[in-house]
Amino acid sequence: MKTDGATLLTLLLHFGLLSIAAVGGGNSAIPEIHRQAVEVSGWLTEREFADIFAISTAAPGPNFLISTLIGYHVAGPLGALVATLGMCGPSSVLAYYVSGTWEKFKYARWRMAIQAGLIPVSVGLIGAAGIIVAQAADRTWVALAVTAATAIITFTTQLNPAWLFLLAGVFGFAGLI
Amino acid sequence: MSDSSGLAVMPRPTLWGLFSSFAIVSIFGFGGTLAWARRMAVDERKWVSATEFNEVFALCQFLPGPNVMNFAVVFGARVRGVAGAFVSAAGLCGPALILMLILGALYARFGDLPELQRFLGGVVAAAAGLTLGTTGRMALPLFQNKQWVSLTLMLAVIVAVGVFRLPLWWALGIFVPIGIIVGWRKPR
Repeated sequence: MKTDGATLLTLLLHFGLLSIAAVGGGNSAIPEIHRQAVEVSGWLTEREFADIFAISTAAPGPNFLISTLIGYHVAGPLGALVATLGMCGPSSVLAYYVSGTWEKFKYARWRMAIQAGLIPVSVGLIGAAGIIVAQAADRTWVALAVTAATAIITFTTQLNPAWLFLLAGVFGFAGLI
Repeated sequence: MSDSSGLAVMPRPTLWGLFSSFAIVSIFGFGGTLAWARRMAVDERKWVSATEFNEVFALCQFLPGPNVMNFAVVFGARVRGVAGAFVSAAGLCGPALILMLILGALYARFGDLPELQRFLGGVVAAAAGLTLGTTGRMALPLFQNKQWVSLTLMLAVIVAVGVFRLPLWWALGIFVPIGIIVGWRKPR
């Protein structure tokens, strides 16, 4: 754990840039968070990233709080606050100012073109997030089968994912995965 | 149906009302906080109509960053100005943030326990599946509307970023302009 100023600043800048680049919200920032935290900075191992993704997805609260857990892992409570501020701050300020002028360009063609154009990119990024997490998580055929089954159930039913997490967790705890 | 703020909000929520509502949404809004925000603002408290919610929601999807956070800021600002935006954001983040700090501390302390490792190993396999299933659901309208160019673009992003691990900045630089050109030629 490093709590020096340089590490905190890196966390703030990294998540601050992601806050603006996370088009479409949701998990679209996950691929870049993974790349930075695991591949570039070495803040986390693949397994730690998978664990933290599991905790932030299964715990109550908005999913973007994965930034809080990564910040905590890298630089303790202060790192957690800095990373969360980075993830929420810039986009919130932008949202505040844009909402006042939204009426003026709500029906502008360029606005609709951007919105329509961003949809495939943001859905693609969320799909990429799924693949990256699956690669980090699925080290056995059983784990891969759990991923596939959860994907199919999510796609075809409205079942609360809490049950799926609990069931998969118990499976894992029992040593079946 | 519109006042000067662009939203007809019948019973104007208090600051405490905003804070507590978003805190409840954040803690109980499991598996899609935004759906819970909608239930709270439209169905239970009747702060906005469904149409007005969709309008604010369209803005929040258009903007970068966490959608539900954008919703808290925009909605809070419309009904109670800057203070409303702050209070809504604090309600959404505060309690969940404290929970994450506790979980982060517990993970730092017990993360290597084999029992916890096995449990999390199962949960993450399901979490990956949830993300992939959600992607499928989000892509469904593109299928139904036969937007083959958009679907191809989506698959290209999945392969480039998910398989070949293209950095986000490259992906945005390459695929967003293509998407906008497609969106411009075929406005919905």
